[in-house]
Amino acid sequence: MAKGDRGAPVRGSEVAGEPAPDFVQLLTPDGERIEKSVGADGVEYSVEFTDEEYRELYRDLVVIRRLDAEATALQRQGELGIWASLLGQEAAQVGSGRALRPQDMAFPTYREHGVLYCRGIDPIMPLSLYRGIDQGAWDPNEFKVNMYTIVIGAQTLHATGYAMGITKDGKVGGDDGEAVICYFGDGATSQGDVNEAFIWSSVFHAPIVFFCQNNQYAISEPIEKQTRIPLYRRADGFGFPGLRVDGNDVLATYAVTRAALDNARHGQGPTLIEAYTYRMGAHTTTDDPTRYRVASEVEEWQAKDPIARVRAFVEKQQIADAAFFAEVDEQAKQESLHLRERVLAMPDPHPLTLFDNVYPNGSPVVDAQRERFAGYLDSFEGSAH
Amino acid sequence: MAEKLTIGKALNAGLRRALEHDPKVLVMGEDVGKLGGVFRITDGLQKDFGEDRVIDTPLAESGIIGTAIGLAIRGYRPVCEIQFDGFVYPAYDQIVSQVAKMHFRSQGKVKVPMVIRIPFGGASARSSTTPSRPRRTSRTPPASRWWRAARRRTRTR
Repeated sequence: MAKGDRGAPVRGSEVAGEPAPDFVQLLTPDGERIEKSVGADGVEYSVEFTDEEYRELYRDLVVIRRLDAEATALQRQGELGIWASLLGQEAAQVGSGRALRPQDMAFPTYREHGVLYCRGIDPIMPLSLYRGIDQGAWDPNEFKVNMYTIVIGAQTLHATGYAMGITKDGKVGGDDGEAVICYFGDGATSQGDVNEAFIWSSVFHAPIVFFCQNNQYAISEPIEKQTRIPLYRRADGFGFPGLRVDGNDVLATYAVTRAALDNARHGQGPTLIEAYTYRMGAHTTTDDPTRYRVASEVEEWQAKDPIARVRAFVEKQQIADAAFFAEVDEQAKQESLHLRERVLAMPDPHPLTLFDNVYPNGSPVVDAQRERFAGYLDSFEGSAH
Repeated sequence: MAEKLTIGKALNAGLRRALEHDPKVLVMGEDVGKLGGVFRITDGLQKDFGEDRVIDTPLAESGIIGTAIGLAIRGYRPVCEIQFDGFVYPAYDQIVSQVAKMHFRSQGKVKVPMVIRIPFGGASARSSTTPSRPRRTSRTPPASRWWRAARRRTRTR
């Protein structure tokens, strides 16, 4: 990137390990706890967890990484069509996912497997999508997580409209108020829909948190191809607060997300959170990151691993022992084995289900197509296939 | 004998009736409020139903349809106005890939009850990109129903 006097370098020192002064961090990569951290919004962030809660955050992170690794393996073995790994982004997803209150609504992209897990959605649900069985079969009304959205940034408008509906319902202004969290990536910030969502949310003062996981790459394109300024600063121009958090720090991510959601539910409008993280793996299993990034960069981020720092912290605090770590590893292993077995046992959908639910109350045109296709399928009766 | 109305006046009366009958119905679009729409289809509605139900939106078509989807998921019944037919294309992903497919993709769990109203035809003086007859392409997305109101007959599909 050309360094002119108008645009600050977007990465540089942060990549080298020195967090920017406006980077909220409560747990260093070495597992040192920082008591308080001031965000770019001028707010001082801190968090208090019990020993048990620290252990449970560690458990979430480990289990999610293990399930994700299992899904990658299943794809490599031909059992999934494709998989979008969350490797490296566990803290951003657990921190924000655990910050949601039960009444809050989430709008994900296609990589938020960790958020789904935190919301209690069976981990097989996203895998059925990537196996081509269905489009992701969880009930968005029950779990308050909308469907995965593949078209980049499209969900930011849905989330905004939903948040406008919360306001219309009078469900803002108190502790029991509702809020929306909308996930998207660094590349999505270039989309018109995302910018329109920022405008709508600002103008209608919608109770929404825009949670951008800046994992440094939009497939192959580095963040410099999307922006000349840090992404969180975009919020200024739209008229609401923005801040950057260490997205590999589950404590800081939890603290800023919880605060932003609570602000939204109390009627203080939108916030943009830029969770500064790194996609350790490929964009999806179809991608080859060695074509566009160097190993040394990946190693630098390896040193900032979101799980290792929590482990270091709970060890130093002596709130977890070897038996605990072994038990968590065993749980992760058992959950992933269970996941694998169920993926392999998933029945293929009947071809005629293609015609189901196209229209809420049916359609003569679709009914006729179904009938013709059923006849075609019947013509194979008695043959080998 | 039935009352004779222009199509514009009939649409206005229909929207008024919908707003009266269902508190979840919203009208949203560019200039639909005080101005009553550039074709006056929403004339007087904001005065009678308020700014919360007859909503002047920011000027972006994808934003109109995209936020209407979210409102519909939340339980509202938005009726969106696209100001001119040739201006609908920025909203195309939201119409074709989002609103039309959500019911199917969610196996019927997510319903998106919304209406998109797009003017066409008429005899107003406009530039070459203002009217562009998108209805032929509009008909291609499955899972959405398209109605065309006309003076002599109403064709549905």
